[in-house]
Amino acid sequence: MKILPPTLRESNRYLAIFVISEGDIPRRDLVNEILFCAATLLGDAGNSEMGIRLLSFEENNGIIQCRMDRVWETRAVLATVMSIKGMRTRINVLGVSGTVRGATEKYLLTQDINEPEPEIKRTKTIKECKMIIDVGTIYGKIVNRNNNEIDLLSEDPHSLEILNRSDTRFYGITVFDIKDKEIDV
Amino acid sequence: MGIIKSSNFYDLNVHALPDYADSPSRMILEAKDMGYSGICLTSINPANTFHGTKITVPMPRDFDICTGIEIQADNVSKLNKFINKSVNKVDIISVNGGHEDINRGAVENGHVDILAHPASQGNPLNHVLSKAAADNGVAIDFNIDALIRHKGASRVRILTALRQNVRLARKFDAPMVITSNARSHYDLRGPREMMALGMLMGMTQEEALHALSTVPGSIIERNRNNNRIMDGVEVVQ
Repeated sequence: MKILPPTLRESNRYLAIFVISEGDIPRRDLVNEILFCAATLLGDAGNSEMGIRLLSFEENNGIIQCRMDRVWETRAVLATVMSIKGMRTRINVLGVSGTVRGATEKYLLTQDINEPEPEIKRTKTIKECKMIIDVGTIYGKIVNRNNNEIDLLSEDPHSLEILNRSDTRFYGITVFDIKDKEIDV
Repeated sequence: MGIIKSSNFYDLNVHALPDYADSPSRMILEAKDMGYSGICLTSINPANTFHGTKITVPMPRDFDICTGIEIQADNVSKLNKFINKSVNKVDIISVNGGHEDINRGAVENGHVDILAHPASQGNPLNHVLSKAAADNGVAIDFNIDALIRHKGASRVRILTALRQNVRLARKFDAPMVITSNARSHYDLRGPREMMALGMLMGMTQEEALHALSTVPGSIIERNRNNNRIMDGVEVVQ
């Protein structure tokens, strides 16, 4: 069998993505969820024109392939991903490029080139802390920390009500919200 | 693509603590990372009280933070009472739409800036409401969280209603805004993703771009301008 000459091949675009989630996401679950969202949003016929494939996925960075004239639809599909296996998830599209190499160099490797030390502090250690807002004080445990952003787990009934209302497991706060500053890891 | 890159994007309906689970600072940081030039932190609660926003994060540069309130009411007289109470206290007044009476009361009140999620119960607007919205300068909101949260039949119904709203707004020249109606930072989406979902509702690319940049920008500008007395009356000197 001869392969199709390059002039007759469909041209593609490559989307660099970054996945933000409450927990760790295996590649397999991410693929399933994206394809499920594509199927529910556009149906089988629409999906066959898009040619969505997940090419690589490492440490929450990934590259998605789609047809050249279907980039907007692909963005819409990625935007409708709400949760994966019960964990709230958001997919950020960092940029679009015409080649895999372009997408990788332009959007995924920029931190390494421009900022030699990004100083991302990711900790899983759990520490108690409190946050004071105008309706009262929230006590909780720090679950995730990523630079200034903190996920706070709280279990008192009033907090559970708020968290249920917004469909998340953790309070999303920053280091600036916390009163006692002894949280440096 | 140049025009998209040079635009300023705004998200005019974002909820934070104490109503929902994320602090204002977290929302601001996340929105800034995504490429927005401003967000509106909207209070929403049954008592319709405005929580002053205490922003603890050092103020980011080139970022606009507005305060807002989303009014929930059962009938039109209560709605008007709450609107009059919050005039001059907040930057942006939006009304939690859905019921036909409330939608009507909102678009006929000149103080209202945004009619938020009018199609949340699957009922589209009609020609009378769209015309009133165009006359009073009330922006019709297209909330993308309807497409994200709902699945199946209810999503189909809401999307149908949203499509009709786009058609009517285009016909009567009513302002459209796309908002995220975010309850946590997992609900925020980047500007281009919001545009993509807007285009799924039947907007053209230019309409989606304006609904995310120039229309919200002009709403903020209009309310920040102290010389404005009411629609069409302005202190010039």
